[in-house]
Amino acid sequence: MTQRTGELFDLGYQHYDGPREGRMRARKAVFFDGFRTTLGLGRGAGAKVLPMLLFGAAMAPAIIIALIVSLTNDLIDLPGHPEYYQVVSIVLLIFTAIIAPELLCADRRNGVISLYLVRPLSITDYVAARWLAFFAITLLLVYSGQIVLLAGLILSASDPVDYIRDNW
Amino acid sequence: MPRILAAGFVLAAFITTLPLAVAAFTDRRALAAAFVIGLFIISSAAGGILTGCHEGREHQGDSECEAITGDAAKWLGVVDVSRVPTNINNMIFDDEDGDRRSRIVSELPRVVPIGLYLVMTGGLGAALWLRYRRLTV
Repeated sequence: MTQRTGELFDLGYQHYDGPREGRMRARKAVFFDGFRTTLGLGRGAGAKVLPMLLFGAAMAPAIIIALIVSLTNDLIDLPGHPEYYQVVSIVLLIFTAIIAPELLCADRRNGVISLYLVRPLSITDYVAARWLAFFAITLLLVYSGQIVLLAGLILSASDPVDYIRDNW
Repeated sequence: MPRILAAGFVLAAFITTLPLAVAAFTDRRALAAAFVIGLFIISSAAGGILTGCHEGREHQGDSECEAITGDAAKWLGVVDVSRVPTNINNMIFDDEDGDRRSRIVSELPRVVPIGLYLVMTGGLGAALWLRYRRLTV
């Protein structure tokens, strides 16, 4: 009878000695992961196409309006800040409908959410962090468009100081 | 400037909450996306039809024409989901010269579009949270 022999390998596993940063660190990690997931960061080029299109779709109306205003120098009948939101809300709603499920569906389908919850992280923290990540990106997009539009309208105005005073 | 910031906040909160709340109820990304886009298209079409002009009366001018649903048009105008943040933004910018559908909805007491916005954003946010609270992992 041959006796089986086993062998032990030392792979260098060690106990974690670093600081234990707690719940806030976990919240921040989920927030930044949500941010990165939405923008397709750390993934292939294909994952970045839709966020780039979203950015382009949010910026395009602002750039077009600003260009028209600067070329025609006529501020009367052209769409302004309220109309920009009206146009961009439709575009953003379609794009966010496509991007948002990426934040939640994949974690549930792949069972990653169970791993998140073994950390000092409640389900409320998870949902709030995901929501805030997506909200931050959306807010950034709508404000970026308005900044471009505002810059275009200020530069095209006959008296930029008056325009800023009137629209502040 | 505060109005631009406030309107952006209103819009971003709405378009963040709606798709995330829908995504909480299905594991299929395509299904969640199709539902939100479908809801947007169907409600937009329904809102357009319900606030549309009587046939043959368009010649009276866009602002003058009588809606097919009469006085109820201002109430039925709010069924368009995509216009929920737009109605609030019109109030923030005090913009009463918007398109015909904006003018119809502006006839309603202000509390109605505001309430609808709060119900849709806050309610869907609560639905998202409750869905995850009941999730077994």
